[in-house]
Amino acid sequence: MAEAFAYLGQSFSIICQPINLLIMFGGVIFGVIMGALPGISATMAVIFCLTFTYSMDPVMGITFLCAVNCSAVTGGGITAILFNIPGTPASAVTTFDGSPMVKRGEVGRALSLDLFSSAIGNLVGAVIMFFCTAPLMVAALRFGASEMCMIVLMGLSVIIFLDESNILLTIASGLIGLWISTIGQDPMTGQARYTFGSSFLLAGVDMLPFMIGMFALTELYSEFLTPEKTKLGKMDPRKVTKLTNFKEMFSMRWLLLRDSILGTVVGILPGAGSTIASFLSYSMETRISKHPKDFGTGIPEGIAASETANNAAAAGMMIPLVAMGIPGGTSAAMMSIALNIQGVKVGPLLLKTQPLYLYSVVAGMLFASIAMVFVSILIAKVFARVLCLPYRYLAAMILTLAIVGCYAKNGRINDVYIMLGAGVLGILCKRCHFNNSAIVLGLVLGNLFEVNLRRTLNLATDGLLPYLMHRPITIVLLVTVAAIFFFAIRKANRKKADSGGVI
Amino acid sequence: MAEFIICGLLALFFLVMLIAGYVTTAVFLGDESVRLYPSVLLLAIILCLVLHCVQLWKKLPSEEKKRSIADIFRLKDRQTHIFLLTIVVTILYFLLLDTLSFVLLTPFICLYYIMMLGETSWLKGIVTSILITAAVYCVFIYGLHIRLPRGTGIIRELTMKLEFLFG
Repeated sequence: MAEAFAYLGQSFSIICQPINLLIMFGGVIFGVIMGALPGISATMAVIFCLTFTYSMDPVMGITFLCAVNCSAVTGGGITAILFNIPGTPASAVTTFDGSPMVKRGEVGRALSLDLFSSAIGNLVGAVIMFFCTAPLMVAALRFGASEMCMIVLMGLSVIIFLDESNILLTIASGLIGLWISTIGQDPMTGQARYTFGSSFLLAGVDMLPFMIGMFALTELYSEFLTPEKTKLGKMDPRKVTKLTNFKEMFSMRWLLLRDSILGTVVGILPGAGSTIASFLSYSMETRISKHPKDFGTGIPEGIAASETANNAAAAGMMIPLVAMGIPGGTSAAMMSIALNIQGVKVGPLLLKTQPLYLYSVVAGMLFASIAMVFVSILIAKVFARVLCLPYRYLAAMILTLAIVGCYAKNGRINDVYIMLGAGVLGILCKRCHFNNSAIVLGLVLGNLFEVNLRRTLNLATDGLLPYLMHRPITIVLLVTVAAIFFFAIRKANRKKADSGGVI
Repeated sequence: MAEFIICGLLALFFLVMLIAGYVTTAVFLGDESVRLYPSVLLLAIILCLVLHCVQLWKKLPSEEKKRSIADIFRLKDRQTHIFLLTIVVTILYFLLLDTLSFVLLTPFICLYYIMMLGETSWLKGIVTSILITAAVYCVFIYGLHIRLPRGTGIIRELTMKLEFLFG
């Protein structure tokens, strides 16, 4: 361990040289802004920055790329809060509480909560990575298809907490999302489903355009149907730029800690990633919280839960990458290529052959977390000012950013059509009391759920029950999920019975 | 009543999807789960929607059931007209985007949204729409080198010249 600290110190001594410090801060600011632009992912931010690192010292290059990657993941929450446009699927949960908070005029508070929570999630993730890379990898390898299926189901269980007054339609919404995720090529056999001969649908319904349509366009169209609904553009600049404070963050210390740990653990699981981490932590918080009803109405805990886990997962994804050479997601895969260019041979031998490089990754993440605290104060104030503009201008900006965000991701006009379709579906569903967030949740987790469910069923050749008997983790998770659903439905039933209705 | 009609139509849509999907999805090496999984989902959705429709129908007052379609969907309402027009304009914009290019078409859609949402000064509207388009265009084209719809024919040539204006 002493050696590890020595390597970490060596990495920091390189970062802390004045010119390098400037480059690192620049990287963090660039990463946050890139992440904030819809359609620009952390992966793209790393690609943009890769060329700058060719002339850098390898340690500096590695830390710089890690800082850009971490801060770009953080930036995704900014547009989710400001315009209801999630920069990444993982930021979708941030809109649940971020958007209502913005509507109340607490823009600076929401943004600073987002950025501070992200920094903490990232910091805890990096610390866990520093201390527990090896044991966590052993535990993660015990997770097979059945355990993953249950983890996703736990993430999906958040659906019943999204609108307790209308459980039937909320469950239907979640199921609709799950069904939409089946459109396109079957992930296991490659057979076309619900495409009806269209090549456009063969690639499936892309999550990002669908989410942008469901959240941003729905909001925009609602303004046409019921004008003057939103208070955006009529806000008091002093209230808008007021940030969160230490007291508020300190009051959420346990939430931040448990969601960071949860996020890191989920990030380590192959294929799970930031999205499931943010949904899972939000779901967990709605159950643990003393005031679960307030979730979704714009409370700090909602933003903190989502963003902490989301960023911790991004850090967690680096653990299987550096320890085993297995990237946990797209951004981790890009980081693997970037690190390879820097001469880092990720995998089990990294600790033995290039320990300095391993701890440079940790140093880069730690630096990004600390720098983000300072950067976030500046960025939150600047971005918050945007919402002081009249709503008509914001609407035009939202529309333009939404279109570009959809188009920029894959360079396909079809994605823009998906966004429009989702927008119209969103407004229809909103009018009929369906839950748009549940639809998005179903779509985001649908593919992962289906693949793992079908894999489990394929593996259980002697029947599901005998198979599950050998999977104790699955049984524990299954019982937990069943209990969550049972108690939530019973609670809703009681409430309805008290008010003289039915579910 | 509107909710009842939409939920009913959605249930019907999902029923059609259930049948069509089951018939059109090919099975690979006898793995039925490829079409069973979505079919189970669709069945559950239909069940939820039908249950909801029954509940709604029971709660609906009899005078509500006699209202005309135009009345139910507020088809005579000005806001509904504006909303429908916005959808049509947006669809038109998306359809023309690949032909007329992002840079040429976006100021118009921005202007439409700005004016429809209450701007009274045409000059302000025009200037803001051009500024928004220019800002987004510059960030994505010159800053990030991300391609946006270029249009076709002469428009394509012009937008490409614009794209390479600064090297």
